[in-house]
Amino acid sequence: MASCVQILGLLQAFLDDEIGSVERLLFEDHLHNCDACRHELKIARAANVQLFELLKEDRLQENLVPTVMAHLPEMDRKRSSNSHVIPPSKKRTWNKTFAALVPVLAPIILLVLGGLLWLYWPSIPQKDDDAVGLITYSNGPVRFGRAVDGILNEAKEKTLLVPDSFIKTGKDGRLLLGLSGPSHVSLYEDSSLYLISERKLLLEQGRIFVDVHPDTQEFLINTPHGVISALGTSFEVYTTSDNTEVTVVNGEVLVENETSFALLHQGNKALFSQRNRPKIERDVPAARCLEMARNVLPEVSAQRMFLTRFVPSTQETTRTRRQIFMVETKQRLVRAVELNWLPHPYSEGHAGYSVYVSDSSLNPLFKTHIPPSVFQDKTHTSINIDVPAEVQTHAENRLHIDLLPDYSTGQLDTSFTEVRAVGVRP
Amino acid sequence: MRPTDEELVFQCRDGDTDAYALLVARYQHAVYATAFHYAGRYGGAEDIAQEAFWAAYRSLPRLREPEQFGSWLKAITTRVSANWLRKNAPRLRNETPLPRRRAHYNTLNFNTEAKSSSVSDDVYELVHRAIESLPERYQLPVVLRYVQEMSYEEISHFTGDSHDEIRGILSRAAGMLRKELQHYKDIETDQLKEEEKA
Repeated sequence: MASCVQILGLLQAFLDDEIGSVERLLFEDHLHNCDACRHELKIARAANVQLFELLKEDRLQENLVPTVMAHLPEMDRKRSSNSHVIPPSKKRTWNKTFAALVPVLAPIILLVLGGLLWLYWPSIPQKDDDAVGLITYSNGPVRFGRAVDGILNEAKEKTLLVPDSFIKTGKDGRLLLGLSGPSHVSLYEDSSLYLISERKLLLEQGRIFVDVHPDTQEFLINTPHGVISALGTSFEVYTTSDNTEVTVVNGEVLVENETSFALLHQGNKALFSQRNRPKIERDVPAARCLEMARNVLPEVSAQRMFLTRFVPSTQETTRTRRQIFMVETKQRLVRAVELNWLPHPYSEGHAGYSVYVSDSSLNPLFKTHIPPSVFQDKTHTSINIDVPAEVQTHAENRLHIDLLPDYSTGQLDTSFTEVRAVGVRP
Repeated sequence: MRPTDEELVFQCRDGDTDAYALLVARYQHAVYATAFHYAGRYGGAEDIAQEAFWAAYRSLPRLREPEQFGSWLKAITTRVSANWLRKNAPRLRNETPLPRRRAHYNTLNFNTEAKSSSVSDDVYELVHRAIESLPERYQLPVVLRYVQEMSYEEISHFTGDSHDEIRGILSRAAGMLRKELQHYKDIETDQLKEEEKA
């Protein structure tokens, strides 16, 4: 049996005819027995009728359909989800994304920069005041250490060298040293070299190529078979257990052993052991040594470090390295003059050359200029200078060729090896 | 078979204006009653109802759930009503609300007795005050039920409440209104007794 409270909850639904059939049965059954609820229903029905009566006056009086349909507007065809939300522009989103990433990116970038700084911090030994040079190129198995303690480390570029260093290359090892002076020393495979000072080396075994800056001090290389001293030259030394071979590419080299000595010139090769007299060969293909040395070129940043540290920036310009050649022409007409030189294997900044050509009694014939770019190109070793047609009218016995460097274009001399006359038969 | 709101909305979107006429016919009473409830006493209910139907038609492509057309239309109607009130606020400030406008018009035509008219006017005003004193959520269902005599089903479509919620709301609201009316009647009978005594 339903309670009166439950039944009164159904009252309004009953009056509005919104009651379910089962509820209706319960409701009617209860009303049949309950006077109080019947009374309530009566009041409610009266009130309901009264409300309807009163409020129906507010009811819509006319049909709105015709007026609405008569002035129907255009439908908005833009299918945006909400008219009040302005679609965000893509540019703004991009900026926002970037801005949101800044707090994340900033520490990462700083960390990377810090890491790079740490990696590239120059590894300078404590006693770098006595450094005499540095490694400007290293490739393959190359070990390096102090002669006193005998501990060898891997030799990296930019490693500073102090006196009494020991360098050893393995199979296919290549190394280039820059020494203050400046001199360059290339070490080829299976070589052992002690660096006694910047001008004194001890080659135990192996093959090196030495390029010495032309200045007054002499450069010494000790080998087990004798001493090699040089002044402003480039040459190759090859030491085996039995003997030592010296090939001079440029300049003069003095070779001494216990009993004898030999003065070597350009293109000479000397083979000597501890006691025998040096065996000298002339006109060997010395350019081959230069070719080989040019395969070992300094690493750019190491070279820059070497230049700033060990090469004085202001070079003396008092030297004017004038080179004079005399060419026998044997009464033939000369079409051109061929100049040969040995390219400097490492350096840059060549000076251009002025060429003055005069006859046997030093009357000027013509002059010309060779730009520095000709010497900069290391693959060239010669140039032909054409003799102007008006000079070709009469044959000379001999030509004086004066070569004067033009230091305004560069600082580096070129040493000419040979000047030849290229002629036509009369 | 009566087409559902959803079907009609899709037909409208395809350019069938007759389908929209059906929707207007189906909802005009609800929209009008809502507008009347919010702003009717200033006499703008019909304008608001038309404006609401036009606004709904314009933004019909943006309706995401076409089966919810009724409650979406209700939201538009209340927004249009609010806008209308705000727009006309300067004018309305100087005007007295006219709760009896239509009642007065009706009484002129149908009620011959001046006295009964005045009593009915008083009750009318009382009922409106009673409806306004109801909880906010109860007001619109009551208006739709008693002003337009809409079924619970239709009301629930328009307000977005479920059928059972509407039944509960109307049951409680009717109880409150009865109490108000009973109270008024008690006062009236007291007054009559005093008049008789006098």
